[in-house]
Amino acid sequence: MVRYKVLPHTADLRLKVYGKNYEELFQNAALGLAHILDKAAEKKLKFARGAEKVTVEADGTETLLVNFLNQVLSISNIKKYVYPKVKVLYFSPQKIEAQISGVAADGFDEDVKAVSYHGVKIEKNKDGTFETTVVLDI
Amino acid sequence: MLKKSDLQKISDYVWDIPRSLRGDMRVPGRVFASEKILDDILNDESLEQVINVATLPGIRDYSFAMPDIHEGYGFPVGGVAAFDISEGIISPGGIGFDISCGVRVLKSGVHFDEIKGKIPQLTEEIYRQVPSGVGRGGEVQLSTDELNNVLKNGVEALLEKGFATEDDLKNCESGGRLPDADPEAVSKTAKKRGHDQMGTMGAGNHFVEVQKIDKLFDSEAAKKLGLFEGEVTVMIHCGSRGLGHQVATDYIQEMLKSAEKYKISLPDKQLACAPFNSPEGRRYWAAMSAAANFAWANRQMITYLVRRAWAKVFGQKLNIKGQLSLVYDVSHNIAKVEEYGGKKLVVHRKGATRAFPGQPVLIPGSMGTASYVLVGSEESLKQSFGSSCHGAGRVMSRTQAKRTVRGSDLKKELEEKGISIAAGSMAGLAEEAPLAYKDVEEVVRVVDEVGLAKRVARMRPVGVIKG
Repeated sequence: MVRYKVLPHTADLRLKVYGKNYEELFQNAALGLAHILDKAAEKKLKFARGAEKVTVEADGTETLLVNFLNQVLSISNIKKYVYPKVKVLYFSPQKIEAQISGVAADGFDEDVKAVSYHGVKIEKNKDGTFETTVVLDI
Repeated sequence: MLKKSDLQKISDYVWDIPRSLRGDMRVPGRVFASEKILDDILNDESLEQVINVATLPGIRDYSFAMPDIHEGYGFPVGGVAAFDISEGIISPGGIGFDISCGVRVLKSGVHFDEIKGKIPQLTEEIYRQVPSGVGRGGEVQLSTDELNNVLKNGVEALLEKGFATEDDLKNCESGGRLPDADPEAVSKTAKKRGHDQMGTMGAGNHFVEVQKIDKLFDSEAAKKLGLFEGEVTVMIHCGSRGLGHQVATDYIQEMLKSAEKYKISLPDKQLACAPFNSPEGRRYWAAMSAAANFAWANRQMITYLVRRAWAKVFGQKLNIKGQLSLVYDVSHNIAKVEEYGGKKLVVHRKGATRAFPGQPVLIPGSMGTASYVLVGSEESLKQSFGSSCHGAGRVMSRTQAKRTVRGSDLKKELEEKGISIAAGSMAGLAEEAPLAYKDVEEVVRVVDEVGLAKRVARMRPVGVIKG
């Protein structure tokens, strides 16, 4: 299954994410973000380390996804790391606890300022899989 | 999607979006644009966003759109909206993620012909001295106390340390310091993202540019600013880096809850807001002010590094008073409390610049095209809450720009035009290709015709430094 796709958007970037279930959707979204920050992020998956625990809460799952990605982005900027690997420890529609791990980055490929709430909708397909699109402010 | 027929033509460059178009509009929309620009604007959702902004509580007169408007988050980029401070709201989306992203221009007092042989070397030296790119730290790492000092005092904090002059303070919008700043309102995460970013440029559409003034539109106004034809100038464009981005992210998240608490109906989540006079609103105002102070200090630090590069290339001892003096510094993602008709309003300018009478207005062009110095007029106070455009605005996505243009080809093309390029990323260069942007000449012409600001000088790049 395709995990994510980077789509064009006039001033920024759109990230389309797919997943069998919510957990996978969140994992693939983080992977897509890592890829945008470092094109080689996926190749570095097997070297992932530097684990950080992330706990995020929100009123709804779509807000939760955006808040989760923004947390990962903040940590990436502070630690100078990209985090392609996400292990979901706890998930409910309003809370996620995850362990993220990754690799050190020597600079990022894009200056992602934030993940926005712009038009974010998590859609369930006929086959039960999920997809969503998030817009990243560059 | 809006059509041209939905708008009312008020004059050649002024179009209104009537309140009748949508039931929840509190004020009409007003677009400053030529017909040509309007056709472009109607291609994305920017005017729908102008309408959404018009629904927010306390908005006065019009929800404005500048000629360089394009779709943003919640508020469009190139939008201006003023809200009564006692009845109205403050919204982080109306300021943007890059709080106080802005532009400054330094003048050298030197004619291009005197130093043209050294421009490539100067470009390389600036690139070496000013850290760029993302996910890296700069050479200056601030301690917690030093960072809090910068957040509270902006450029004044750098004056104490010898990185700024009194003139640098005087010629910066708001003296490089918003007094309501409170470092306590800025999260630990934001501070962690900012402590090593002082004096860094970032990437994307940020740049330092060595320029040559190639045309004067108003020689009297130019003389007043100390500008002459052929003069070498330096333009710096960047913002509050990760610190500002984090402040915006933090408060947009918080204000989603505030909007619910204060029963403010939002046509778009990204318009999340709180009453200006609420604890949440005041806290964001204090945090935004601190982030703005950080951005001004950042541009001042970069100025110091550029002066150092200049001194190295031209063999002068670093005497910051004698070289590269500051013409002006404007923010184009910020809110200001200003008084109109005896009422205090919080004016949100996102991708828009203040243009008070006699105040220099600095418009960066896209890479390889022209930049402008204009001067604000009385008309802007009457017409747009003292506001003007901020730049050219994009027309093409980054992915498409990268597909259409190869960074290395673009570099060669610009170098053949006599422009030295020092860039950290060829992909980044391609994303910023001139063809991805609107025509800044047309945008500036409209602003001049409406009378919001008058053209004074045009500058062309001779050296481009990018992340």
